[in-house]
Amino acid sequence: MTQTDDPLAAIRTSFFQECEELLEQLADALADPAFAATAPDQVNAAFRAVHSVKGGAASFELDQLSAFAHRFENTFDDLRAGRRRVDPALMRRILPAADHLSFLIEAARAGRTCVDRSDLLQALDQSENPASGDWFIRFRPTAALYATGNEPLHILNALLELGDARIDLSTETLPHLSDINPEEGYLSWQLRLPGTIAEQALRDCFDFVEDVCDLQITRAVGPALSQAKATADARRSAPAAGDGPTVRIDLDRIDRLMNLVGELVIGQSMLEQTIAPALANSHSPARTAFDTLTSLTSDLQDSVMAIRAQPVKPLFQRMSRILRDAAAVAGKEATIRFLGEMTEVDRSIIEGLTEPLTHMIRNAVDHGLEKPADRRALGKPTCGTVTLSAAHRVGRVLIELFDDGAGIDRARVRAVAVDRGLIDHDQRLTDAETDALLFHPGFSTAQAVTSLSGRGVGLDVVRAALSRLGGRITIESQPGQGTRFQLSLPLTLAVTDGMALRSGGQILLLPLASIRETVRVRGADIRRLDDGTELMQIRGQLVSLCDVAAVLGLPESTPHHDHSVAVLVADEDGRQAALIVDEIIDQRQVVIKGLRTNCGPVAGIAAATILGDGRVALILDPGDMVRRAGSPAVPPSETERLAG
Amino acid sequence: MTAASPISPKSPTREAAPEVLTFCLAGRDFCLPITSVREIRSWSDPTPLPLSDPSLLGVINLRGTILPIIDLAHKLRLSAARSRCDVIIVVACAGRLAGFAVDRVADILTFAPDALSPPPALANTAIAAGLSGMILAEGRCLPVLDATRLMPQQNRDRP
Amino acid sequence: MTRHVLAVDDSRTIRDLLHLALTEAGYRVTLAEDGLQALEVLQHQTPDAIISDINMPRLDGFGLIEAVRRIDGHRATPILMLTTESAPELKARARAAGATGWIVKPFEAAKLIKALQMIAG
Repeated sequence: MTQTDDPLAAIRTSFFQECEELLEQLADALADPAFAATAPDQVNAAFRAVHSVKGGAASFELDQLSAFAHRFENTFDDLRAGRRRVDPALMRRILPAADHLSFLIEAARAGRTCVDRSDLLQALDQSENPASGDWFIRFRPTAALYATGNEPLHILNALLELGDARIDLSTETLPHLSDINPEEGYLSWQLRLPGTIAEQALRDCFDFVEDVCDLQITRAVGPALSQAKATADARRSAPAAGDGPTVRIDLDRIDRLMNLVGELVIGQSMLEQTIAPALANSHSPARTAFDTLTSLTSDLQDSVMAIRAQPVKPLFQRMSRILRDAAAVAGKEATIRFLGEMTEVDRSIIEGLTEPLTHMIRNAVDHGLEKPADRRALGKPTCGTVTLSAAHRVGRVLIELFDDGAGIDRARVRAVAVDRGLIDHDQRLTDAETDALLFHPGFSTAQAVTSLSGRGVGLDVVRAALSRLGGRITIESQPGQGTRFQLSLPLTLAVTDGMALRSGGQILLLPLASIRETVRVRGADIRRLDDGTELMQIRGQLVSLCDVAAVLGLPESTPHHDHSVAVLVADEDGRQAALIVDEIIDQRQVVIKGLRTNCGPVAGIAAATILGDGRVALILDPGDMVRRAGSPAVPPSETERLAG
Repeated sequence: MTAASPISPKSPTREAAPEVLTFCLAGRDFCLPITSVREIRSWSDPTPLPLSDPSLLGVINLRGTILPIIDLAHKLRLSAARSRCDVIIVVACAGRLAGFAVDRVADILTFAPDALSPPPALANTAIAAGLSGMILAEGRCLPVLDATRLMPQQNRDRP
Repeated sequence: MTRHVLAVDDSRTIRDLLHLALTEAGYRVTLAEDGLQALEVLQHQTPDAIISDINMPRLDGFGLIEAVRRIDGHRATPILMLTTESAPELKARARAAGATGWIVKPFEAAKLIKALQMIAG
């Protein structure tokens, strides 16, 4: 449709190419920690990028884009001129506006208009005047608040999530200890929060307790919190994160610090075992001192982890470019939406996620989203949406990728699986089992599948990459409505969840992510083949047995399996083996220690860790154990079902 | 031994001269250049590694680092029976760490550079393979071991 | 520490939905079909929070709260009510009975978890 001989069209094309570079420069400038400190170089870079977008957009009469860029640019101009400074609240507003700028550019390129998001700009303007009044909250719970099971701490935490707050506890009404009625509420809090927070958001935090507390929410007059805080920080030595000056630190140093903290944790549990008798009395001074130490160690561990943690935003931004390219190649229209992009994850995990996510984004465009004409015929917007979200979930990070495309064509998947010999033609599979077939290595090599209007290409590679990170992936699809992938990952690679086992007189650890099931071994379940291979029937399926002690040549291997335990593990490709061990001890988090540098490769072992008593325990390599068991491939549907 | 002898106890006035740590292994004396010795530790039972070289006794926790322990007597084929070891010499070279299990540590000696001679041809090829030279002085003959050659192989094929 | 939630509802679908939402968010979940069954659970277990429907056979949600608030060891357990409408009088009744908070059915998983965090951390 573009007329290549039209010189204006050619310039227009090159303008959009330039826009991509400019967006990248903007993203880089914003991602630079120096920007948060209002460093002139980064602020100028951001200003120039937005300014250039504005200029170009105005030339091509892309009004919506140029108007947005113009107002967005003002923010950076104010920063340049020193009229305001970057603070976390402003940062939270700049980033969505920058995202919207990229959506506007995409829309302009496609000749569409975009939803009006002048609210983003209003938010920027609002925080431009922080002195307009911080929120001032007086919160005094009554006895009824406690009686109905509410807990002020949770409410305060929820408020803290809205923004930097200053919280003062008032104990004025606290009577003498002998006069205290434990069911009565004596405490009250005074909070000050940035005026940029919406009042409704504050009120929501008190939704359950409005009727059981004294609550006043008012706009404070006087210096804004950011300024009051700056003076307070000047008095304290440690500046708050994101507000004070920043330092760049060599990653090695952080890793060393992280290792030392790991040592500290181990040292502490060794100490705990040594002085156990003194700790038995929960009121002893030793117990109190030790509990303090424990909580300090855990805080220290969190703090160090936090230093290594980075928001997933740059990773997501990279995906946005990949989506653009993939959509252009496939002749499809697609936008990307981010949720929770400020979620912080250990940098090692972020690095490991780039490849699998790239793969999944391409997949979503190639096989998930329909062509614009098809979408229109279906009554969907011609432009498909791929959403990437990140969130913390109890010690793990959950990343979701979903598209509003066609969903999985299960009939085709089934046909291909039968054709490839992955399943029997009369094998009954649930929808979830059918979807899980896409993770089977057999699918990735299937040329026929690339034209499939479902998914499937290379998902086994994605799963293998995630498995290396200690992650899991699940798939969910609604025909005609789209497909959703859920990735669950550990927060860091330095610590892993493991199951402690006893075998051959040794304590061994098995990564929890590889374990499907544990079963007690009964001699009757074991079949022996002519070549000596032993198989065990688990839920009607034959799985190779692998006696851990015998395979690893551990000294005290017991020849009889009766009364021992089988742990069903699967490797990255879904091949399974039943590892025979003497006993399962417990589940625990362990600090991973490399073995290879000093010891070279060790058969069947992935790494080592240090136990509470200071001794070394080995972490089994499930993949190597499965290979040693010589297990045949099993359909991944089974492993997925068990994993779920 | 006198202070004037080529092999003498460590003397602070001759800091620049080569120093070695001498130790006893299956009744014989050996030494390691002090530059490769990190520290000396009392014995702790290692965790055995599966399917490994029999001279690799296992690994111990050295303040958070996983340290392989090498049965030096076995490695040098000095005695058939595994000797009762009391001391671990922690050596470091080329960024890697290992612990050598020995009977006991004797002394730190300084020697004149001209006392060092190249390794002789030895019947015991295992010793010869781990040797970097001999210190000959006062009628004593002290084999100098090369820690790098005694460390676990980095790219050993999986058994 | 994995947080433990007791979810009470007579509808199997709602129970399944609760179970899914809660386990996905990393909670450990015990299910009960009505107030009486919930009280039986509470004889042996001390969940960190309870989520309960209002209209249930045998013992309804209001009855359950009142009972729980009288059991030593559970008096301060946070209880989230599942209401079908956000009628103020239902909220008031739930509050009077001792409910900690409420959420309107049909609920979004994210809202449920947020409400749960508000009452149980």
